Formats: sequence, C-alpha cells, structure tokens
Amino acid sequence: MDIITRLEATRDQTLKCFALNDDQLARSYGPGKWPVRFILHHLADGETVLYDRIRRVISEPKQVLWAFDQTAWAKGLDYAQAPLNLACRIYEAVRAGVIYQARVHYKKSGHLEFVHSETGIRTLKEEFDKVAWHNEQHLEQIRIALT
Amino acid sequence: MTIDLALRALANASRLQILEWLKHPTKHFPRQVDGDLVQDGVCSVFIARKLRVSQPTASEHLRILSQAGLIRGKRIKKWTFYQRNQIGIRKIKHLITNKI
Repeated sequence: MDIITRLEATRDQTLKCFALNDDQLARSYGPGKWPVRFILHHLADGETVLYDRIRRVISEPKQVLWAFDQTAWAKGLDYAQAPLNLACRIYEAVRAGVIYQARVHYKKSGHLEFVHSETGIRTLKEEFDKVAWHNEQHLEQIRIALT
Repeated sequence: MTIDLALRALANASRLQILEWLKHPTKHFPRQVDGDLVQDGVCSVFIARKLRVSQPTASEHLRILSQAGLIRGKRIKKWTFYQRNQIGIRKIKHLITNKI
C-alpha cells in the first residue's frame, strides 16, 4: 500500500472514532492503558508534532528535532477534559497538510535527513512512514478496546 | 531491505544493544506470561524497561530495526514480541561484505 493510501485510510478510520459515544471513548485496550478518548487526543497532538518535523526537515534539513513525552502531554493538556471535537478538527486539518506534503515530497525529497533527539539520524521518508505507522498502531489499540 | 536502511538502523547504541540482548533472550529478560522468550520473542514492554526508555521510544527503535530486516515482530494478544531475524541479518552481513 502506498503512503498516500495509508494516510487516507488511517484518517478515515480515525475520524469515525471521534464520533464514538462516551461509553466507547472510556474503554481501554488493557489494564493501566489509555482510554480511547486519550488515544484520540494523542493522535491529534502527535499529528501536529510530526507535521512540524516534516515541514522543518523539508525547509531546513539536518536539524536536531526533539522527542515529546506523550504522558506529560496527556497530563499537561488534560486529555480527560479537553474538547474532543477540537482535537478532531485539528487532526483532520493537519492530516490534510501531511498528505499534501507527502504527495509533493515523499519521493522527491524523501532522502532529506534530520537528527531525532532519541533515535538518531532519520529521513523525511521515514517520518512520513511513521505518521501512517503511528496511526495504524493506535487504531489497533482502539479496535482492541472496542471488542 | 537495503544496505542504507540497515546501516542507519545499526548506527545507534540502543539498537545495537537490543540486537545483542535478543541473541540470548533468556539471559537478559524475565519469563513472560504470554509468549515464549525463545520461540516467540521478547515483549516490547520488557525491552523498553531494560533500555530505560519510554514505550514510544522503544517502539520507534524496534520499528527501525524491523524495517531494516534485523528483527521481526509477532503479535500475541495485545502485545508484540520481537526476535532477531537471522535470515535478514545474514543477508545484511553479505551485502556489507560485498559492498566494502
């Protein structure tokens, strides 16, 4: 499956999850794991971080880009109370930006490099792949939570 | 599998450490409730804990190693278990030997 198809497929599945009811949003995929509501907030925040990295690598390659602590963000940004409809709009708009940049840059500029603060040298192509992979992993967790 | 991908996957102390631990999983990891350490591999949770990094950071290292063909993951229930991909490692060694 090519990158655009993966980005569009995961977007469509994720957007459906934002419409789940409160009972479904409260379910978790395992003891001590995030409920679906938190995963959706994390997907919206993660999307903004990855999109920022993508734009930085395209415009100013070879920078050091920083990891983010997802647990700290969930606490600091109060995922339990934050409005999910806002996260949904952010996710959808930013994913549109990611898809646009992937169409333009995935093949042409995929070789551009940056340094991730924890995992070392990475490429733009790998970062686009990560957006899709990251979303797929969390959709799997949501699927488990709902079954 | 490309030599470029493999070399970049190997160019990181944490990922080299993971590969080394996975050579002898029973020596480095505790017994697991699900999944046999040797037959199925090591749960990513244990790898993250031993590496002393967050789960997402460990997942990223494991994804990079998997993409390079150096390890392979197996899903059991809610967890993913990783073991060395000996065939992939042999191919990469062969590629490196031929290239340099």
